[in-house]
Amino acid sequence: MIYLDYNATAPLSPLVEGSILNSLKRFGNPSSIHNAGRASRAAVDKTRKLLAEALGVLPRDITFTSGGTEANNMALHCLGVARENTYCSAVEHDSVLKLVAPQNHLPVDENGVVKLHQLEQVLRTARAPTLISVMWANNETGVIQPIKDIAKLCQQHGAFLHVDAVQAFGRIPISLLDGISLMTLSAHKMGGLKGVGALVSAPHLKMTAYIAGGGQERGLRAGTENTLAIDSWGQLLANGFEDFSAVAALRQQLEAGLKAANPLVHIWGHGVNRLPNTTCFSSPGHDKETQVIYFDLKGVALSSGSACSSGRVVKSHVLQAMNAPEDLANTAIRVSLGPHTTQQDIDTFLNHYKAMIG
Amino acid sequence: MTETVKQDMNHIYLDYQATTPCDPRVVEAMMPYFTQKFGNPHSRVHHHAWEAEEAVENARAQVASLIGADPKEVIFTSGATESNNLALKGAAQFYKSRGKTHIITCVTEHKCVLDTCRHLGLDGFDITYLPVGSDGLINLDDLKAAIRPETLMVSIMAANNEIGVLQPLREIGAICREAGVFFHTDAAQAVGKIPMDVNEMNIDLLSISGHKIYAPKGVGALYVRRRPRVRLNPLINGGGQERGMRSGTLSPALCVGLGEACAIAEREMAAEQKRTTELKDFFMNKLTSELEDIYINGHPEHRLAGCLNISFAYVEGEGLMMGIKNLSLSSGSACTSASLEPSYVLRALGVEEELAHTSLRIGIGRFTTKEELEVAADSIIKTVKKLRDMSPLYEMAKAGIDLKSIQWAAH
Amino acid sequence: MAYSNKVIDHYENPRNVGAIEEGNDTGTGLVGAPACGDVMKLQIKVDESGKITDAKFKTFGCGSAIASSSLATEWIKGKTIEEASSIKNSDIAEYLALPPVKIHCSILAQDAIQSAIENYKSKQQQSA
Repeated sequence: MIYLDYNATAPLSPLVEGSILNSLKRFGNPSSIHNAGRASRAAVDKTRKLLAEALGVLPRDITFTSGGTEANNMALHCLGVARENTYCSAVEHDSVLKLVAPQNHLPVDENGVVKLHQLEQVLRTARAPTLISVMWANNETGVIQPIKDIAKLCQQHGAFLHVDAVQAFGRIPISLLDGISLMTLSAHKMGGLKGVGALVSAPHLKMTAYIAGGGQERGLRAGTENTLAIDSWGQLLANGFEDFSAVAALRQQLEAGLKAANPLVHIWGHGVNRLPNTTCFSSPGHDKETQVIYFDLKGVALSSGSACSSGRVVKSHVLQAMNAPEDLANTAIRVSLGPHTTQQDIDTFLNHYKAMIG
Repeated sequence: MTETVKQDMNHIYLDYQATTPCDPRVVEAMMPYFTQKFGNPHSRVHHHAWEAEEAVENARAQVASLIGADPKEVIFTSGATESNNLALKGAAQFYKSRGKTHIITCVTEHKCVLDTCRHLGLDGFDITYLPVGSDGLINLDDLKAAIRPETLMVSIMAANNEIGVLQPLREIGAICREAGVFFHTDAAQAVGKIPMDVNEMNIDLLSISGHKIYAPKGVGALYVRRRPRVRLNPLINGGGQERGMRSGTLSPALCVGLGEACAIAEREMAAEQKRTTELKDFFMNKLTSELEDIYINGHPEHRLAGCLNISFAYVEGEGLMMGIKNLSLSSGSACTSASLEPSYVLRALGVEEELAHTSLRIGIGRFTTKEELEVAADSIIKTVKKLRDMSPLYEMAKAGIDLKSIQWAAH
Repeated sequence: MAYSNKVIDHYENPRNVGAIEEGNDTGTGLVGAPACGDVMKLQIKVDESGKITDAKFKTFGCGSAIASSSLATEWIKGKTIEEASSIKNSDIAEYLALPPVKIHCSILAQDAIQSAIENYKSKQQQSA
């Protein structure tokens, strides 16, 4: 089995694997004041501190959630910005896109990059308070948004900016830049366990609770913490991020191989900044679902786009927003590599691809 | 991997209502899904994902079986707090426009139900908080009288987390069904410990927590009745997982853990109930044979055997805790134990404040042994005796002074 | 809750627990309330020169309350009532390294000293 679907989820990092049993033994409720509780609290706080250090914020500005989807939902609710004043890019993950009115989806260019002049226009005319949500890197194409410029614009116009950094964190250097109010992270896309994410907030940002209850996470997110997943995330962070440097070279080979095998191949976002691990490409004449099943039968796991569509065959809203013609949109698949991807994996994949193209 | 939970008489765990250790069998069932079978269960295409999805569906069936539900009626969440939030806010938001703007709950509910109701109250909903008697149970006539045409839902917990009393679910369910209002129950403490059947009890929504039943933290479930159908607005939007009611990537491992925990509970519930009751009786007999003036809070029979809330008159709870550092237990609900306030649950029962300050919650669970309880009882007896010897209240009571006759200076 | 070693020491080995038989040369302070979770009874015995020759306490309360009252009896023994009444709660809190949520225990201990001294003084005035 060759796994090329890291943007859906990453296999558990070996750094974490060994620690699960130990972590499960530390089972106390972090809210309990006895020994068992305090040990769990310490583990949760350690991860919080490591995340804060990695992002250049204070530990108290990290709120753990059950994952990226919940953190995105929380981000769009917790500032109390009215729906008509909330905007997002047209290529956001469903967990943001569905919360924003369609007329407030900001257009992107043919590479999937937010059009800054259009954003500026919105910022100039929108009524305060305004919330803009733009992802750091796209899950389907890997295209990286000019977050620094966007943050600057938002700051100039006094708008809140939320950045979904689920795909970017751990793969490219990121931090809570000036002008970013909120940022979403997820553990399992970077080799941690599923079931934990975080919402990072700018200092002294006023937020309201999203899940009500026992007052955990400074009253912003109630519920007993997922100590196992949080602890495992900490193990990962303490050992440094997994190394994505080799991945870029592998992707270059992959894309060169694709072009050599099929002159009609179209690689999305080819000319702009992308995550080092993601290739989204169309092979006209080869339906995307057929391709995914073909590769699955050959033992290669990849995807036709966002993982969160519950298996429904849907048009990619990302490629649609990029104005992709039908024949390209219907034939696009995503290959996403990880630190454990090998040269041989790429060669094998390319051989299968050549056979498919015929 | 199947080693049992270690016995360590210096760290005896008696806080099973705050959280439980993972059952080694649950750990064993989960481990493959942490590592080899890591697929995202929602990417329906490739092989990894299929395996993960199959495991999640199997777990869903295990959860459903424990409460007599159909697997299609079970959705996974991050835990009981989220389940309670979703049940209350989700139904409230959906039915608000239909004129259903009244919710009935009870003063001793878990903080997350009370806090959610408080939020709904700010949002225009009318909330009735039923009182409880000195036994901790609601009065069914109060409930009947509280139901109005605009009542959407009754939310009453199955077992209380602080005092372990069991509310009369079957009777509440019958009243709700007859009146045509939804019945939600926070069953985090009850599921797996007492038999629960959503059809026999006419329950429409039921919240489950993983880490209270020997599965890990970070996973729970919500039962949502399909016939007659309960509609919910999702709390978390996105990829449309869990029938659109709860988006987000699920952890197959955690779902498998919850499923396995439910399957174990279903198999072993009767035997475990018997064992727990025997342990409780042994423990209480030992305490009462050595200590006078101790009281169990809440109804003596309608209760979980494994949850004892005991007041030790004339000694203060925190001072007592300090003398029994070998025991991990709580002097109140885990979520609030950092505060100096006496428990709102004990207050609702009408327990006098001085007794409320002297209470300990002792949780007896699957891995508790008789030896542990013997050591625990000895520690408690020794410390209570020592503290009573230095307690001015005990001295006065023994001298026949009525403590209530004294004008205490509040500070 | 993390307790300082000094709190733990006084909790485990409380000094001067007990009662002093009431007389003209004694003073008893009873402060706090059961409903608030702390009650302290502190007693002193005073000689003709105004020196505290004995002090005893009984406390219903948390470890910090027990430690504060135990320490109070230790400190006032051998002191004159004037010296004893100058003891500040902040001295007790600092010595025991009480966390902010436990400062009220030291306040109560200071109140107990004051209350015992007042009780002694009122007895003196009555007999004078």
